[in-house]
Amino acid sequence: MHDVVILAIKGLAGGTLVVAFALLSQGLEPKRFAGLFSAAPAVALAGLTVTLLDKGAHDAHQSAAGMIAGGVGMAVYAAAIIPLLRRMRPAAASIAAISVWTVVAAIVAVPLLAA
Amino acid sequence: MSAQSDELTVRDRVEQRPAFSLGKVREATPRELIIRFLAGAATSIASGAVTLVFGPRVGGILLGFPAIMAASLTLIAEQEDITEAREDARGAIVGACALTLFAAVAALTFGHLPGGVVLLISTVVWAAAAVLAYVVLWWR
Repeated sequence: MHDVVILAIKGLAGGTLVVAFALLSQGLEPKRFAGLFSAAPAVALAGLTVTLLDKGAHDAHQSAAGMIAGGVGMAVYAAAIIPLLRRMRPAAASIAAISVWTVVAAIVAVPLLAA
Repeated sequence: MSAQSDELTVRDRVEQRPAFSLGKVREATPRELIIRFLAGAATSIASGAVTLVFGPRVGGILLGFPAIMAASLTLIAEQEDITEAREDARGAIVGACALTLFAAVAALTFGHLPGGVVLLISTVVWAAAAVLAYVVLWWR
């Protein structure tokens, strides 16, 4: 039951922070500057805060170390979707780029998980 | 001249100065906000569930999942145009590099400083690195 409550709190906090950063990004011009905030650590801030309060600094440290792989994957996702958006419909481009994120994050995660 | 040939490349500097418009924020529709909320909530729950099964280091990978970007780029491409979505993605490359720095700073300082201070420092480092890189790379 405790785990379900924690997941619900993470979901609520993550969704709320993503909306907040997305609104900030929407209000900014030019679009390239707004894009900085499309990669804001919204989910990370929510997840790490709840982990910190629930499990403590050790688990938050472990989560942050794993997040390095996701962050590298996100940078490659953003670079990959630029040409994909010219060749595919937006939803298809996003799905293809998420595949790229998955592969890159997995490759970078191998040494991080072994460490 | 076509819109595509007018499009900036990642090497081009941007003449327009950064500005914030509350009017543009008010244009957000409930549908857009719900899509973004669901993207963020689903990613957070997925990260939490993976953490429960495989541990915090594996679950942490999903904290770098492009939740805002996947939702935002699709909406921008649908409602504005592809050129604007591609410009947003160019900025997000730098934002994501700064996000990786956020994770590295947090990983190095959790356990050495109070948790709240770690999150504050990491967020300041993310914002400063992203804006500094924007100025160095693209400010005209």
